[in-house]
Amino acid sequence: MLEAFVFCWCVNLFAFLSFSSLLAENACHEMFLSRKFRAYTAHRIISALFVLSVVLSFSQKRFGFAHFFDVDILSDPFECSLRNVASWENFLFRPHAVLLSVFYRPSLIIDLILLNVIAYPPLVLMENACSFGLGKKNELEVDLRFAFSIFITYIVIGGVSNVVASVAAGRGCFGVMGAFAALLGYQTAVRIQCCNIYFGVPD
Amino acid sequence: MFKVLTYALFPVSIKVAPASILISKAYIGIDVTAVDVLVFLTIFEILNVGKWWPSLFHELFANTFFLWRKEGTSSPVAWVVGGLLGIAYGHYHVEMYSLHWRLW
Repeated sequence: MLEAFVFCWCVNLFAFLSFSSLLAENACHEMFLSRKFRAYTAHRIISALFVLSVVLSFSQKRFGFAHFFDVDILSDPFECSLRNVASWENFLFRPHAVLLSVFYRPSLIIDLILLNVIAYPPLVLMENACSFGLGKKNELEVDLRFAFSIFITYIVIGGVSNVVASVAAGRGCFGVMGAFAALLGYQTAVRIQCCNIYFGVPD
Repeated sequence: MFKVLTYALFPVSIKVAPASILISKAYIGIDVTAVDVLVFLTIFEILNVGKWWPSLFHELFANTFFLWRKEGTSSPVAWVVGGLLGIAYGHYHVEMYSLHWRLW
């Protein structure tokens, strides 16, 4: 039991260190965590939450943490992991499971790659939009605006789209695709309204 | 015994795999290619289906190449709904902070 625990957390630590930092630092031009790079900071936090959700989902069933989240459990053919499912029952009685369903999908590497490729440019755009018109004295307000926008776009809209997909498909859905689609939609809307795609980026 | 050996050697093998490939290339002359690694992954997957401990391995490596588990993931409905709600929130954001023609 103990060696299994140590083994599992060693591998998870290795995965956390290697995949998150390697992908993020290579794809984001080696920026550091700072207020100057809010989008990058958010990207790193979301990456860490991805890995943490995988670690937790593997630890729950094996080491008896299932009661910790008290969520509806999707049966797994490998009988190895637990998932937070955005089913209609969870939406009614356990809304936190809907929000947590955004952070788990079977393929962690694909999630991290898509986070770099798809979700990072909208985050940069969102940072620009939130900091527009505010000077350096209003850094806290920019932080709050940015965090609130990410919470709405990523977690709330992603969870709601998972719930709608669950109702439409007749089974519990989870995953991060709704959140990525929301970020892409946000990018599309803002860029169209600011006429960037028609007239190019002026200097 | 096999289980104990696997517990002991699995993280070690992950850690030293690139080094061992380099060493084998340099000193022994065996050329380990990506195809060999994929074959190893496949055999590892097939042999260990149904046990709990290779599932993290499955999660991190094999699921990228072999998309066997597709149940429960987000459907295209989630793409469409999320995209529409994101467009709505983007319009709201532009209205809220009056960003028309101003961001660039």
